[in-house]
Amino acid sequence: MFLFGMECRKIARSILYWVLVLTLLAVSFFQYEPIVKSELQRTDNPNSVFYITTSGSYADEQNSIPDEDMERAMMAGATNRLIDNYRNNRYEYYPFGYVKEKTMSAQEQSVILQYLMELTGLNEQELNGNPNETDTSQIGDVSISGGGAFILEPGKGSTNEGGQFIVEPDDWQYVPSHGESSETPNNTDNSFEIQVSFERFKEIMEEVSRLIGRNSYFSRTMLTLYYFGNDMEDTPITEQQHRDFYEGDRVTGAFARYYCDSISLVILFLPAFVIIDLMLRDKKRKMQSLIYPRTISSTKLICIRYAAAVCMTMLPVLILPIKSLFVLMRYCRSIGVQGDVLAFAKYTLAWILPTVMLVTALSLLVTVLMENYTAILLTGLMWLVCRPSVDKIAGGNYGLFDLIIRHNTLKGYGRMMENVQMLALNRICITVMAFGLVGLSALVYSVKRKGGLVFGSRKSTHNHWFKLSSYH
Amino acid sequence: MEIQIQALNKSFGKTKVLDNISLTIGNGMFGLLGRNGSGKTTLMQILATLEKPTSGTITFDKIPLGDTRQVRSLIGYLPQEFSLYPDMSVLEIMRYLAALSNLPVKVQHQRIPELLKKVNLWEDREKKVRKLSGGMKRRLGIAGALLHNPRILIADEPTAGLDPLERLRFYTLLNDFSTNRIVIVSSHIVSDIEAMCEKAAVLDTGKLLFHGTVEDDYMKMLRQLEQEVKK
Repeated sequence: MFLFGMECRKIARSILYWVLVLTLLAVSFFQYEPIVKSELQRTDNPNSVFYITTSGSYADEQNSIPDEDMERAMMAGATNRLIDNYRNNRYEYYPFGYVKEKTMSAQEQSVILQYLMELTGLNEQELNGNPNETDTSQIGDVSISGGGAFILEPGKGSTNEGGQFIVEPDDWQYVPSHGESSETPNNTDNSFEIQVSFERFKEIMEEVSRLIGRNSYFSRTMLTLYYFGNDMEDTPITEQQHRDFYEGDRVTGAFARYYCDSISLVILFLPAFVIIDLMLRDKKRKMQSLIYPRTISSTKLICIRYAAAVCMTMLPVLILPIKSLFVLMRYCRSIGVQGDVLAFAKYTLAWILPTVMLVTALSLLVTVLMENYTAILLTGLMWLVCRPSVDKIAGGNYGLFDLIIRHNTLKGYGRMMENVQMLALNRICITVMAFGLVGLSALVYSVKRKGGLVFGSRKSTHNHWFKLSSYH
Repeated sequence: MEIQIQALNKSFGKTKVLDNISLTIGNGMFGLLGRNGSGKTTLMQILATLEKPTSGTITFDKIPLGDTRQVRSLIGYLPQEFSLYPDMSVLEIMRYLAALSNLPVKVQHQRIPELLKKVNLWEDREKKVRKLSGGMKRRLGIAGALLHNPRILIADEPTAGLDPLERLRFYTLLNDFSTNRIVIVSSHIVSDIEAMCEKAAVLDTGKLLFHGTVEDDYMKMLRQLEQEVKK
């Protein structure tokens, strides 16, 4: 225990550890906390997860909708979003999983304008509209399809052989908006009829997407996800979602899931720095020859250092949401709802800890073996490869070997519960793999302590004036 | 206590670093003399279980070198080149090394002050390592090597870079410790080995040139030559 404390103290004195802490702080502060704040500010909005109806009825859940209607909804919604983006010259896309904004050049804007004219039949003046009248909140995609949206009811969808959640078109349900949502569109100044076929629309969207960048809202994936709608989107709350939020998630559970999603990309990479720095410090400080001949077993030393790195990484992960937990619990008390005080601890330990364990274990093994910074490259590569594609971000990322779980919404408790077995299996697999890598690290470390597995050349460490050969 | 080295060979790739070394080392101070690249450090690293011999056997009172767990409990090792975590204090370093030696906390409380007083660092126990002089770091290193009260102490060039006063302090310290124990020190300075040790071995290009007492004519000849070079 004493050695564990010493290793934790060593980590706490590392600059790279504070890089991790500050990054988590930034993500929590700029990504997660604003969601808590904004959601608490619109509790009366039918789109808010907090919304409790006074009339006794929530948004309806209707059954399947014809493909042509879905296509029309997509074309109208996407075109309207494109008009809005064009007017503001601000296009959002997700090149690395996180949202980025792009400003087009004048030439690119004129290309977009041509496409918009083709799509709507409106002229340049009509499309440009009056900038003062443009209100982005009124050109949302939510209600374009006729005052409602398509949602995926919990229980719908299926899991394929690879463990990936699959949603078929028939799984979507159309939910009309009954509430006086602030996001109800107002198209009076630019009402239009789509002038092109669905095939031509897809071609135009592909071109537009290419101009904006990887995973823009106009990519095929995002169009399917956003304009065919799903239960993760900003749609009026249904009764099922209301029950899920207050009874299933007990309020804090939904926010804990969202918090875990916010930090997931950080967790897939930065924990590597903590263990790499801890292990390489021996080499940098020339402590190896003092540590190696000690009686401590390699397994014990490696396990203690690994545990210290994992615990120190998890410490800020567990501490950061405490503030929002208090805020949410206070709100729960004010409306007489029993919030789950342990939700953040449960979700971070179940969703985040296994990923931290695996990233740390892999970095540990590579660092023990190579005694250099190769692990940073490797985990960086892993971050790029194993990052879930954009379609999984909101839709849930529940494959057996997915390293991180994405659940970029406060809704979707039902979908998570549908996949809970797969989730559990995934986390267990990752944890087992992590333990395996730690065991391997201990083995390699043990061999290294005895002078084995040396990479590179050995260099001479001293150069003295005394040359015995001259006395022969 | 006795260390027996039989037909020891060590190669790094095609380079032979130790060539058929056979040596017996008993209690007391034992010196390893040799120039740069003679194989002293490699021999000491093998004795400290940090390197594996290519061939040959080494036993520590019949305990084979391969039994690293047992051997590591017998030896204390002070490498020639080492550094310490600069942001730790003298006391923290001692506690850390004690924990790595599986020393119970109760024993730590007794041993650490005792050793720090012995190496004259007790007054500086709260000082950060980065503020210690080279000599102080070496004394801290030796105190760390003695933490688990080893029966064999291996010190690779312990006085390199130290001023005469620090060197004298080191000789005394190692001499005090050598009663009923084996202390192996290496050096490229003949006078240092003569001053510290009763017995010595001379290595050159991995071969054992001499093995005997420091009063031997061979050692006297080396001393004489060393003085001539200095002039």
